[in-house]
Amino acid sequence: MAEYPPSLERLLHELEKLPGIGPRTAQRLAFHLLKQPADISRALAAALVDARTKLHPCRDCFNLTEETLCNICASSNRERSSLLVVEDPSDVVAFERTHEYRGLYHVLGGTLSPLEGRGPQDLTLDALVERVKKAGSFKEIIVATDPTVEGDSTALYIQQLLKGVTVKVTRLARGLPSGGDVEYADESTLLKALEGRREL
Amino acid sequence: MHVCSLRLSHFRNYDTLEVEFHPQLNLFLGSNAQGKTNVLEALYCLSTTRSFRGSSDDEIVQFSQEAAAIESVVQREEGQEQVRLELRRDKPKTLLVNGKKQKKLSSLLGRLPAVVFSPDDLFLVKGGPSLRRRYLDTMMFQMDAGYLAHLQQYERALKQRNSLLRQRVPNLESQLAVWDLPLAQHGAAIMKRRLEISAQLSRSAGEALRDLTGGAEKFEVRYEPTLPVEGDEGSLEKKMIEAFTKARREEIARGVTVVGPHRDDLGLWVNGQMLRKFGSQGQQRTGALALKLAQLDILAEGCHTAPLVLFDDVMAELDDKRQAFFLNRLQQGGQAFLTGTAPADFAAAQAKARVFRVEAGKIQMTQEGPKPVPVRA
Ligand SMILES: Nc1ncnc2c1ncn2[C@@H]1O[C@H](COP(=O)(O)OP(=O)(O)O)[C@@H](O)[C@H]1O
Ligand SMILES: [Mg+2]
Ligand SMILES: [Zn+2]
Repeated sequence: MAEYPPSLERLLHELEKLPGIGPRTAQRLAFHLLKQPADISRALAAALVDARTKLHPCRDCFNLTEETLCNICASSNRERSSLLVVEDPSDVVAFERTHEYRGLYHVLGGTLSPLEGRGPQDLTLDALVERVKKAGSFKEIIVATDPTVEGDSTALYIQQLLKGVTVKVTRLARGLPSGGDVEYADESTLLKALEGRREL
Repeated sequence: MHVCSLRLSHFRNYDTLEVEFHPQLNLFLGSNAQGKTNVLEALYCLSTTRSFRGSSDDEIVQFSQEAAAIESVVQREEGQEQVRLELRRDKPKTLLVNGKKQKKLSSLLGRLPAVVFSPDDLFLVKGGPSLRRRYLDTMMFQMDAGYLAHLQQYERALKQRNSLLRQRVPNLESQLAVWDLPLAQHGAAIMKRRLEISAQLSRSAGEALRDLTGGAEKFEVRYEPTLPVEGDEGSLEKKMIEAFTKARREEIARGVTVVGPHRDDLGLWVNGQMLRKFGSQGQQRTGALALKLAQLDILAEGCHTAPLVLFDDVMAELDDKRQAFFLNRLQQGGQAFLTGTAPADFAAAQAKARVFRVEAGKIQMTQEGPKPVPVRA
């Protein structure tokens, strides 16, 4: 097999590190970009670097933001009595699309997964307990991790952590397909899950 | 119900294949390594979404190809249905029914049940417990989609828990607790179901052995879990959690979970003696046959249709009496696919079957077989 020039080799190597992208997809993306005018590649590179330098976790909820606080935490229109705990920033977007939930969020950064070497210290769990205690305004913590084994176990861990703190901890109902992903659930499924939540 | 036709592309040693089956008996003859078992494997994939050889998709896709496809037309009471399964080297399979992509592979399960008979069945009796668990599981998940879901989640939780047991983390106890619960929930559901099916199995396999031996031997199948399965699922869950707590020190020392259905076994007893230890080779073979026949009965009942019978290289091992017994059995309903190397082994079956010659990934029909006898509606 013919060898690629070093710069192309490097591009493929970087693309293949992305989730869901194997050698073939990497090749397709790279050749597609190289066929287009150079401006397209420059714009992509600039957008990547720009997003990466400007975005960081929100001080309170760990959602992505360019400011100290994300626009949800900063808003005066949100109810400060309920907190929806999700795995990733993309889940926040999914729930916001329902236009139904008016409370605040907390982004964990994943689930517990010993197989992938992810323990409690790798999630924003300490910050969650701290936040709930300090705010004192939360009446309900809704755990909306994915309905997977890992999501369930993480929900259970959160419940244990919050045992001493006097708030109600609920879990999203199983309206979500088992083994499913919050991010991909459609809005009506999410709504049903939200309405049918149960106390842990 | 029967499979009318099969088309393969880049499946094992078949570039492309198109065959039309006899609704009752199909016989594949050919030397070794020509592709006979591969045909049965393809049919089994349509039934269970996986290979009975335990092969990965990567092993099944033809050398130097990227994707394989299995397609068949199935005649059901409601009409014909086209089922297509696509396998890729590094991606999950896709399932299409009548050209429409299906969300879940598992929607295939139970629609076209199948039972494989192969010389390896002897290991069901002689081999380790994992083979007997797999035997139970493949039967169960064809009848009960809920069972498969429990099994998958149990296995996932077990992997996570074992991984945690091997890590030296400060608050191990509180972290283990959150994996104990799913393990107990799914574990209890699995054990309950396995207990029920084992009782059914014992009856069915007992009958099969009586048929095979002319009533000479008494066969018993006993479910052997790691803790007593009593009471309802809720109380079994609690008992499992207690068992985890009791075993904690051992588990941490060994780095594995020691209680739960992943350690289950089936005890096989003939005339009060343990078949694995005290049975003769002949008794063990017969016991394995009885287990497979029981699977056939249970699946027929549970799926409300006669399973496909995939008979791989087994005829040659049977004496004349047994051959006659099976032939009679196969003709009572359901569609059968038999493979072998020597036509002489099929003397009795040949007249009643469509016969195919298999050679180097090509199949040729050499005898059309009798006009199908209508069996039940
Ligand atoms: N992925 C594959 N691609 C191409 N050929 C394969 C593949 N897997 C197995 N084979 C070939 O299939 C043949 C074995 O087919 P099989 O059906 O097991 O034979 P038999 O007729 O003895 O039952 C062997 O020649 C083997 O090399
Ligand atoms: Mg073979
Ligand atoms: Zn925020």
